[in-house]
Amino acid sequence: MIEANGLCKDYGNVRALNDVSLKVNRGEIFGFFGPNGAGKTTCIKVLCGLTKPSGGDATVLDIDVGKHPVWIRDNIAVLSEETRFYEDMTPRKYLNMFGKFMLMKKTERLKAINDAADLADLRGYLDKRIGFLSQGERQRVSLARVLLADCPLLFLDEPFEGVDIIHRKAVREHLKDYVTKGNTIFFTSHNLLEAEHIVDRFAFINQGRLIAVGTAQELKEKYLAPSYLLQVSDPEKAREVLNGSLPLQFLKVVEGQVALTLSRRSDAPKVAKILVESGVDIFEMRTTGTMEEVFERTARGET
Amino acid sequence: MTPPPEPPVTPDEELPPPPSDLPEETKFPPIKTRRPSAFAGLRRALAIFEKDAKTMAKHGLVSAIILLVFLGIVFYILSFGMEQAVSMNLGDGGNGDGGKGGPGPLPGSTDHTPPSASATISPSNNVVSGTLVTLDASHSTDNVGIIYYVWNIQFDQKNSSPNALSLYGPTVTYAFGPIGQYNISLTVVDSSWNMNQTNRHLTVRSANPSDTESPTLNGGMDMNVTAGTTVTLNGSIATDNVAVVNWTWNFNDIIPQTLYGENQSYRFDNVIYSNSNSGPNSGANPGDYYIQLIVRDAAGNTNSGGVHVRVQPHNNQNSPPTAQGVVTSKVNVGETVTMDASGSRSDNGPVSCFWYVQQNNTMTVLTGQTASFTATQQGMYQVTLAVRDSANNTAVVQDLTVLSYPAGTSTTEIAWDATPLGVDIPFNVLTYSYGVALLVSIIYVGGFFAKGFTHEITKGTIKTLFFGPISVTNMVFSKILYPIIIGPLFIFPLVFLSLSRFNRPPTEVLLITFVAYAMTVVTMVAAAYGSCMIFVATKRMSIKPSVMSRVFLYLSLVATTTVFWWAAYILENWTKSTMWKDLNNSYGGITSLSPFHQGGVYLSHALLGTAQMPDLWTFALPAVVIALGIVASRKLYSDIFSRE
Repeated sequence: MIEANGLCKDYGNVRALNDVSLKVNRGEIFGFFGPNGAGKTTCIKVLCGLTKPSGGDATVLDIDVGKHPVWIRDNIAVLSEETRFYEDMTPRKYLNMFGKFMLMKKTERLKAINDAADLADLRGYLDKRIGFLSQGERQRVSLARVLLADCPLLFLDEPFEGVDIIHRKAVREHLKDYVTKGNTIFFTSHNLLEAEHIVDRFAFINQGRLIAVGTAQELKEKYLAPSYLLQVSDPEKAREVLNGSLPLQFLKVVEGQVALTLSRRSDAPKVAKILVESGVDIFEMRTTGTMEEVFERTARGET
Repeated sequence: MTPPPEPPVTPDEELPPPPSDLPEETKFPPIKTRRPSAFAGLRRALAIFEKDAKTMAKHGLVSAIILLVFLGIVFYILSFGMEQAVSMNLGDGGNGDGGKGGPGPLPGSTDHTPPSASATISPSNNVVSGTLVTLDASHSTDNVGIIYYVWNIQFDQKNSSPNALSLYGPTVTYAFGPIGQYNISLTVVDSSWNMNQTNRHLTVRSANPSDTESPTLNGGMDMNVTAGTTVTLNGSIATDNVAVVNWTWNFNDIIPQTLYGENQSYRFDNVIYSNSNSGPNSGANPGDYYIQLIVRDAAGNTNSGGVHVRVQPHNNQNSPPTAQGVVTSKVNVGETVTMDASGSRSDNGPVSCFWYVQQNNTMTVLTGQTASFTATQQGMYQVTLAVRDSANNTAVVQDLTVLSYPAGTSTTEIAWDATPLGVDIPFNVLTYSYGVALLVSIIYVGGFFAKGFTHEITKGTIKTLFFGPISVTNMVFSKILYPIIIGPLFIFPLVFLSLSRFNRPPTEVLLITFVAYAMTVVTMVAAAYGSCMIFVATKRMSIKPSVMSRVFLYLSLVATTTVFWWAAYILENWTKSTMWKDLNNSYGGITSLSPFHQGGVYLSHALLGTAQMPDLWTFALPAVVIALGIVASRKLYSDIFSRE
């Protein structure tokens, strides 16, 4: 879907992208995260063909970014972080205009507008002037614009900003459904908690450099200390058995569960073995730690 | 020189392989990407334009209609003023008036100083009848040189001959017989056809105050003759108490004839059918001649009467031929004037053609269906064509004129440059219509264009649009559609309305309209683009950008000299005062800085060959402004302008 090799982008003396290489597979939601000014938007711009890379190369949908930017833009949809509207248009007319830009036929366009409006739940204000809409409603109009075209690749820059909880869920489900049909989403957000629900693979970028790429599980294991939460038949016994048998950083019984942090990741299989041998039944053993923690660590430059 | 060694490529160890639990790409059907077609950009530009047009229709339709009506009225009034100016000038030059006024100032000439006319009458301006009077204009002066001296003499008494007379030359002599008051006007013309006129009065008193009795005329016999007959005119029908001393016979054949003496004979060859009401024997039946006889006694008393002669065609074949003559209407001195009567027709066999070419008091008669002569002098030649068939039916075309310009003067500009106004600015139908088109497009299109484009940039919609399949080219092209598509809706009707009074051929009107339109579109796009660049550039300054861009547009409009020239010309024609032109000349240096005006001058020069060259440096100022605007906005909005 997307392949980038050593992408660089300079704005004057500032290097906004530095040797970014990544591969986005078909049918996945690829999350792209980083602190403000890390280069997320620049990366999207380069991949959309809106600006030329200073170095490196990339293909999107197997089309060369540098050579055929318009061809790429013809086949993708972008929700940019800064969306402005023609304030005196209604959402219906706004969507219709974009349908024309996408060179859709009239019947096709009307159907797509209805579908997209249903999805983003614009029904209540489809014929109201955009100037009168609230921030969240506007964001949903933008979303509807992106969902309008049947593109194989979507770039969503902060798609849930200002969208209320009920609608978030609906859109999230739609996006998940969307990728199962073989489409792909390139996604950025500040809300990692929410992103964890839908993103298949994460990429973290900081100061223009790609720091980490992988699934949530992979990244947590790589960047977070080996912390686990155990649901066992006898928490107190488990605590006693574990204490002293392994090099531990932390061990405590919290609300009937055993929380522990190992000093070495390689000790993890031993935990189960020790408990089973002591006659404590393990119902569940979960890795703890959130992607936010991973994000914080990567943003600080830790590994 | 060898290139520095490339740093070793380190494999990205942090890039893990894709997880195995992800769906495999192969289970999806392959993606078919759309390639943008050649017309995709155009269709998108049209979609943007459609959006803009709808907005304009919603918000601006009523005001646009009001403006259209308002400007229609304004241009109609302006065209009235233009028509006055044009017809006044063409009237002097084109139709001719017996050489009285001359052909009018020569367009494109650099000498605009009129000569000074000075006339003296000797022996005095109160003479007895029959005295030989000398009219002397040799003291007239000009900065370059006078080429014509024309004396027009009018007698206030009707029964006299001649009651109007033109004489040519710096010094002429003439014996004034009939007693009474004479108005003598002298017109001097220089080589640039600037004119000046002065008037004198002459009183001719009786040579014998005791004899106050005029001669008497007995009715002569009217005659009926066949064409080709020589008729004797007998002056004995006039008697006087003392003696009749002067007999003058006036009548119109193909050209006016005057015979002197008591008994004269004249061969009447023509049964004249006039092509116009003002032709010879107009109002009379074909072949009817009225021969006026004016007689004078020694004291200077006059009387007049006349006889009728009716001339019949051979075999009574009363069927008029049709005379049609084409002559070269404008030549340079030394060039050949060709005359062609091949369009003439007759029912009675082949026709004979006679060309009477008159310049001042010189008359040349040429024969043949086609004839030619060399224009040896500058000024106006008047040509009369007579076409006579075998039965002597004759048709006459009188109003053919040839204007002969000094060598080196462009003769093509004259039809257009009908109203050479002022010293340095060609003002003609073309610059006028160019001005009309310009005004319209600035008012309608400029505002929309600048507003639309700056809206796209400053409101950020351009950013949103660019994330879609819209390119800068689409955007700019859609904005250029404003003047191209909306412009004609307003430009064409108003230009046509403005030109409607001038009776130009349709092809010429179309040419003027399209040239003015095309030039206007180019100018408009440059001006509007420049103005929106300034809008963008000043956005970061503390000047209100909308004010700046409007100022740029409307300064250009106000500086359009054409508007001032219109006003000056119209006021001059209506108030008959040169004050307006003088006033305009005083400030003309400032107003001619307008690149728009210079555009019109350039058009006149390029298309019509007018001598005036545009001051190309006046384009430098707006060019610098636009360039600065583009540079500034490229710096400020580098991301927008580097996208392609």
